[in-house]
Amino acid sequence: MENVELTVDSLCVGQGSFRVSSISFSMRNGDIIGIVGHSGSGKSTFIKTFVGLKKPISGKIRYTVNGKEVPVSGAIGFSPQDNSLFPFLTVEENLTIFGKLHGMSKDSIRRNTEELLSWLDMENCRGKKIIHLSGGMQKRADLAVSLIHDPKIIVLDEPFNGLDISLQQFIWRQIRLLSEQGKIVIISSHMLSDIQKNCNMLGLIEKGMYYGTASLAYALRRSQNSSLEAFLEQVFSKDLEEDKAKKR
Amino acid sequence: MKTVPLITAILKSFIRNWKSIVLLTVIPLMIIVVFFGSFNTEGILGIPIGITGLSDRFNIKDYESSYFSYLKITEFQSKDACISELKAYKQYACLEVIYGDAVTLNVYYDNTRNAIIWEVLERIKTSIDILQKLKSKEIASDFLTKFNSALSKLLTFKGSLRQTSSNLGGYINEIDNSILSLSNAKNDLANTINSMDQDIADAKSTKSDLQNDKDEFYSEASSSIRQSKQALMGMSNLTYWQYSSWNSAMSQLNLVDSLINSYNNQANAKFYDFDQRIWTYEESSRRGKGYMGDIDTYSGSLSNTKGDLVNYRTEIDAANDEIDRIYKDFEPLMGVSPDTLVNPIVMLNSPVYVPTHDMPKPRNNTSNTPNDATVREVIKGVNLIGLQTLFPTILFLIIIFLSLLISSFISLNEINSPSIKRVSLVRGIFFPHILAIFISSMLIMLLPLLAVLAMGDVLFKLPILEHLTLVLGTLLLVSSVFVLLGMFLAYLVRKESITLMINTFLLVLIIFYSGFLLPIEKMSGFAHLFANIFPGKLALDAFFKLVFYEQGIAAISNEIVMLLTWIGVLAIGVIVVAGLRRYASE
Repeated sequence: MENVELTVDSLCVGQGSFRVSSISFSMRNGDIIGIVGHSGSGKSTFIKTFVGLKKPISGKIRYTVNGKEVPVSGAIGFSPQDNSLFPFLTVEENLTIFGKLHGMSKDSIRRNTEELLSWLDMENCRGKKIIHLSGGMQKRADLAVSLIHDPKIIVLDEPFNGLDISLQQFIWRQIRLLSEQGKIVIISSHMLSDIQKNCNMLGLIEKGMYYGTASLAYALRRSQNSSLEAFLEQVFSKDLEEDKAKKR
Repeated sequence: MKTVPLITAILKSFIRNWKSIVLLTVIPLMIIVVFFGSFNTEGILGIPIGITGLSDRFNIKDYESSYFSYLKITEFQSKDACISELKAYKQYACLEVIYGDAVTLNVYYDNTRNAIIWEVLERIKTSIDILQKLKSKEIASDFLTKFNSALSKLLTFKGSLRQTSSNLGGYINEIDNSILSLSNAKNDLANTINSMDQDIADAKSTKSDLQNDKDEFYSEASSSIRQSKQALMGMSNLTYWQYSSWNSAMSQLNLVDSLINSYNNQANAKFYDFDQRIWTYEESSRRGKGYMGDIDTYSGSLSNTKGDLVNYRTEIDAANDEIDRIYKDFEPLMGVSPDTLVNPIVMLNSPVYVPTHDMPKPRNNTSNTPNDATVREVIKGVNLIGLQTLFPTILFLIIIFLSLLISSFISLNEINSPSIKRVSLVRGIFFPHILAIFISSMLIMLLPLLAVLAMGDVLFKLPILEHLTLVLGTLLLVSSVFVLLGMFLAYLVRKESITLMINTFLLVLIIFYSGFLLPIEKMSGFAHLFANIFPGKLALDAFFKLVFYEQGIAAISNEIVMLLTWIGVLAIGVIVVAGLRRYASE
């Protein structure tokens, strides 16, 4: 297994006057970071910037493989919030197309396709068009396509939206398996309990600021809350009250 | 290599989306088939036309099957009856035949049916023109026969006049000779009379001398005889012998006296006779002189007659010269054909484009009388050529419309596709993605394009397949221009509804500047300049050169360069707009 290391250093992302700054964290093989924050806090903006869909305002993203720095874009497998596949193509065709776009050989594509379809329990759906799949299957297909080129960093933006519990659990299992394979996973979600349970790192984006694992642990301790969920609920309700007060 | 999978994805997405297939392939193809299948190479048929005033002089029904087969002619008793049917939309036009020196056809037409009525009128006019030509030719032929006969008679008359002139010349010469002869005779007569007068004068002088001599002799002799007698009478006493002698002397004297008297009387008688003769001669001389006067008079009359004859001859010669001039003026008409007389200035419309397929060739020789079959053939041929020349316009309208629509549709589908986020993440995908959209649009365009070309070849009998490579190349170039324009708009606007709306406006502009609505020649200034380098016009020119005049690639090199320039400019435009959009989204 290659030793990979991802370092996000003082990254500032945003659009217009909206900013999220001081995003800094470092990850290694098998790390899973959960990015949390309330709606509109800037989670997706960070994710989009990280995967390369947006340019950072400042800061750096460094990615090293066995100590050697390589461009991070080629190592990312990204699954956005919404379906990001060709809707009129089958699952297998989507896998093939994106495999080719990533410059993979036919054999690699075939091999990875078989593995992914089997791993995600989608063999029966390989010939089905994306538009004919259920939401859960679409998400699995999306995940499969994100992994077709065997990325070292997997970025999942709100992967559980609209999925039932069993599917959520299924995806978490797969994420853990990926982590076990040494892949770095960055996941944004509202499912705080699952984040707390499955991630070994945490990032909170709130009021344009990023709070990493260490600072969150400190805050958690200070708030005397036993769970992250309770702590964040406290934070969010406090925000809501402040908003109401401002409006008054 | 990233382009190919993207093209595959785009094409598969297109093919599997029944809406896109129906909207951008099936419906356009159906429209194309229905549209082109609707054209009738026979032109307009069964147009109801009413007619009034037919007679033996002009009966259009005689020509119905040959020249007016496209009409359904109904005869009406009055013009008003026909017009009332026209107003009831049962007739397209009413033809009123008016007879004068010429037959006039007054056409009352339904000008609320502008789209078709002008073609109907044009067709009727064409048929009437043919009839008019035939009639004019008949009249001209008849005129020329009579004219040639008149000119022949004129020639004969001219010969007669020349003979008369010649005869008159003979008479004038004879008169001249007569006058000369008379003059000579007169001179001879004058000389003779003068000579005779001289002789008479001489004779009279001689006679007078002789008479004087005689009278003197007579007087003297009578006197001597008297004296002798007196002397004898005075003698008396004469002896017998003496008396006898005296008596003898006396007798002798009486005898002499008698003889002398007799001689004198005879001489006087002779002189009288001589005088009579002289008088006769003088009378003859006077008469001779009178004849001389007569000769002068006659000679004068002859001179006058001669003068008159000379005048007549001059007039005849002048008339002859005039006839000569008239003949010379009209002689060229003798060899003129009736066609030339009817059409002294003939404008021959010689179309340069002669179709190579199995269709009747357009007639450009008006001198031959068209028969029914050739007239029908010409009408059919003209219709087909009309459709053939219409074909490129329709073809380019379809290309422009489909290129814009398909490229906009594909571009917008791609730009707004859920897959765009994932595709955008692939490194170095920007240019391959644009190229994939372009190539996919072009590939989708290919089917309707080939369908239209096939119809052009089969239905319109254009030699498209013979020049398929160049024709297709040119069409793909122009299609590329509008595909890029569609992509440009799609990248610029991004919203389907707004892009479609702008496309509609843009289509009107494109159609206008391609010269489909208003001929480019009628445009002024910048519009004219712009239209001349507009892709539609360039492609249309290139297509005409390739298909109608079968010229090679060299002939369309300018158009190709211009189209490539357009492609280059628009490609840069697409890249810039797509780049700016991407930059803005980042």
